[in-house]
Amino acid sequence: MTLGRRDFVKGMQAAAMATACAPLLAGCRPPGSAPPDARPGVLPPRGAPESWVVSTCGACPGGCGIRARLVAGRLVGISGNPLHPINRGGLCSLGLAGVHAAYHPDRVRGPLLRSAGELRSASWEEALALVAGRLRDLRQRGLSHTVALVDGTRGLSRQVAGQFLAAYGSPNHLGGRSWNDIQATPAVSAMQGVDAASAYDLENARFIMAFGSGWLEGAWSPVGAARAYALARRGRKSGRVQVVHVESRLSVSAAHADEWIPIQPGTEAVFALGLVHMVLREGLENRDFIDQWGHGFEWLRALVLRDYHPDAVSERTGVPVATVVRLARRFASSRPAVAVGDDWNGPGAQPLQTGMAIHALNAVVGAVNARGGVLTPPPVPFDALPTPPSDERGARGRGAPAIEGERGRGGPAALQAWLEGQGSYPVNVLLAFGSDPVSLLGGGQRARAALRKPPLLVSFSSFLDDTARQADVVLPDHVYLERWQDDPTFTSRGFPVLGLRQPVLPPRHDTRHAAEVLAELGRRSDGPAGEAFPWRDFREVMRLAVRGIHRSGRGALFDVPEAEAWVETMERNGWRASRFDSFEEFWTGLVSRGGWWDPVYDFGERGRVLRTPSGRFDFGPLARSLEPSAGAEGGGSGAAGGPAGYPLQLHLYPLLAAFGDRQGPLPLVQDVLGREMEQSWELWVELSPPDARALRLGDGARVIVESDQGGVEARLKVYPGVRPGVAAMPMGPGGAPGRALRRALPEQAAALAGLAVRLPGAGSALPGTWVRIREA
Amino acid sequence: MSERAKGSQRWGMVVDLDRCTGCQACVTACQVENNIPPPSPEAAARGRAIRWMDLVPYQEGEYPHLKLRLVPRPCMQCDNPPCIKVCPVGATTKGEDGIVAQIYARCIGCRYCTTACPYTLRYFNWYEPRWPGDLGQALNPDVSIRPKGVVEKCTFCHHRLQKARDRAAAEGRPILEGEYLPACAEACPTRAIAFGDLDDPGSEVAREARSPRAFRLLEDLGTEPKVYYLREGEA
Repeated sequence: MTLGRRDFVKGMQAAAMATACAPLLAGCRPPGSAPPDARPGVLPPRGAPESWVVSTCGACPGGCGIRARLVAGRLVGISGNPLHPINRGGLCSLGLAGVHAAYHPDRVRGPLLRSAGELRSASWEEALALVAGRLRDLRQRGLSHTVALVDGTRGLSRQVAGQFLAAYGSPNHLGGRSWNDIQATPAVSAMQGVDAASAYDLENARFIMAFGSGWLEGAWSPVGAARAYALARRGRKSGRVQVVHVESRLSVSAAHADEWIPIQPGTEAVFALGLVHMVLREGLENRDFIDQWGHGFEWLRALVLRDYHPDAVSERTGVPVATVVRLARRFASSRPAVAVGDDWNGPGAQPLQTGMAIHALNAVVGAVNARGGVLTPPPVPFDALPTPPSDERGARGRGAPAIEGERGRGGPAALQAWLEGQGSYPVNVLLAFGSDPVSLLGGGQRARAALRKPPLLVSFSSFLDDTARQADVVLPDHVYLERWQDDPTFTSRGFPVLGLRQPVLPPRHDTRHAAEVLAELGRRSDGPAGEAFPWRDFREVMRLAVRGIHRSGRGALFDVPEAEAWVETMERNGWRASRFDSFEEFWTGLVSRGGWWDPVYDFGERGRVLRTPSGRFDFGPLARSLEPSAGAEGGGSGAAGGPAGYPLQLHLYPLLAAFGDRQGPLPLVQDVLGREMEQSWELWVELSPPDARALRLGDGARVIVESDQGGVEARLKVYPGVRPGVAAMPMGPGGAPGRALRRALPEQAAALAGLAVRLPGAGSALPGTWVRIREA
Repeated sequence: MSERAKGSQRWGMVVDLDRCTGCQACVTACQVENNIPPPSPEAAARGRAIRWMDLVPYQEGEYPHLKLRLVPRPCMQCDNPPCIKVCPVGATTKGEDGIVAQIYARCIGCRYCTTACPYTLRYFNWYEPRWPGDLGQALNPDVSIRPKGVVEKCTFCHHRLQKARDRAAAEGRPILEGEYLPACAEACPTRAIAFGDLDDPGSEVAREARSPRAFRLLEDLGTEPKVYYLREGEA
């Protein structure tokens, strides 16, 4: 043995230390540094072959382009695809930590079946036979409509799920609209009649009025939102955009605004209508838009002028009158201005009303389907998949009353109510397809109980999320790095984008592509569902649908930013921007560049953007909800006060860097959560200094936060950025932490509140969630 | 582009706080790139987490005029680094390219440097480096794993500079602007982190470092950081 220099010095040090402070060292060993199954890392061999694969991130709904770096067959790095128009080479924390997704210790390693209360490993044959047998049996008994599928996917996976249900015979394809990752906002659906999600042209707006904490932390595309923000601030010759943020907490979004309006939570609709009032009273509205496109405007105008005088608004929202007047003038005079936050989403009439009030603010200044306003991106021109054959049983099943109602607008709340016994028939099989319904319903006791109702709960999750943990069968999907998939999305300027996802790694465990498994279940169940899937694998489905894009001749493959202007000029003048000799050439380009997009937005497509019965922008639904007879008056009941003994209003906000996480809890992501609040690895609750003083609690105290639904332990953070009277808590990343890495932010704050629905889009005040705080 | 020979660049960084949203992509990019093991919750609670790049929040003012500033903070790569002066074994040095390096094999773990650094950007390895489950499969082969008992710090992803240098030398040309970027600058979704040669007057960093919005942290200490910030707001 040789004694190195360092060992020598260490030895000397240790000896000196030991004599000097032997008593101090007793029991002074550092605590365990890693989970028990942690291992030392081993680098790949030197000079091992290196390769790069272009694909699309799937860590959140954002759909950024990635380039994966492989060394010796190991995924050792992910960076952004510089050609992808959503992220242009950048990537967020979730996407970068994705290197760990495939190697995650909490992955489901093969099919699981529940027997005697426990999930145990099974073969694919066994698991598929069980589910297909049940499906066949139900169909033969004329109960195919009692099968429901909660869909968290988009694009072609969603189409395959739709085909499966159509052929099998069920109307219950849940997860449109308010469930979906990139949501069609209910407010826009109500006022414009469109089912598509909205884009906010922040890059071209001159003034941004943001409601709630959604826009930087809770955006469906964190990278897209961040890039739009940076461009609006520093990317334009016309100067720096001004941002005003309305929220009861100084969130990260609020901190980045020029002005923060700490509003009484739950009164955002009142504030928005107060601004509308001022815009109308001072004659600053956009008459062209209202006259040409508006419907039911006079009705709204009369109500708003009567009930939303700045004095009344100030009293209810806590915002000074002068601020209301000043901001209304500024909003109406800095065109284009846009109000962000109409994706307000949640149970009951009020979130919809808040969303509609915000969207109305956009409409009165003409910021709808206009440059710098709210846009409706056109869909990616896929070829339709072949219509599945139908038989009499299937038609009967499809004709049954649907859980989400005729127009499918019920959202998660409708499923919860149905499962709790309000439906006209019981749900016999629930398929959680790319989704975690337990977590979507809030993750609390009530959600768990509701999801225990269906006799067969099937999860397709790659991780043991909340739903998978209580499922009867788990048919694990590949993680996003192991599968073929399409990822249709859009940019903030409303340009449609198709990202292509291809396998970066071979499947690491005994998992299968969920859409292929669904097709296999269809083939095995009785009836025409078997004929609905003539393809072998999902790549073939993609090739089928992508032919539509090739044929349309529109748009271009991803390219350097400089190419955008070229494509736009060509298309605006009626030329094709790119030509391919064959479909194969197009497909090869698609795979190697990472996708396709069409950088042109046509502002003239009024029929596509306004699909209300009148063909105009409908102010009616908002006006109707504001009539005193409509009950929930003015969205202001949140200010009225909570049940006795619960003095604090709970404000849940999405966490920066965690929103929309679809993976298991990656330790590197856990480590960055809450850094902006100097918190890490555990749940916290924020109180204003006066509220904390009143409770005689100091920063860092362990407290119990209680609602009438139960309590949760958290650490107190005294934060002057919270409005007094409000307790603010972060909503955690989607999905529950799994076994080995089960730490931190465990049962989420949303679960604590027993909220009926977890809000995917907006994090601010939910009416009626009141809490109290006591020392633990 | 400068025509200077190898080793005569002065690499620096400019972080535009008006572009930065505080998303922490830079933090995670750094952890993945540099094989920094994820801390356990206990280690994080004791302030022993290693974050070469960290997001530091500053609160200013009082409700309702409170401001919250989020500042991404790598090693300042000082031109006059206090950490070097206190190292008893010469384990930390400033290279010709201005990058303050740490030589793990020489470090005896005395932690004088962690104390001397006014920005507290040096980190001691309190634990054996370990990764839960198979996460250690995803290690970057370009960066060595540090043993327990040594100090480590941001290197401006020096291994990337070596690669860029080799490539440029093989092609007989100088390193091009943008050819060498640390992982944080490459990942930043808003392009808030500019990186390049401060001695090249035409480079983006040199231009931005001269901006009226530019400032450096604890400038009065005379450490001459090569990391600049651009404050938010007009001008």
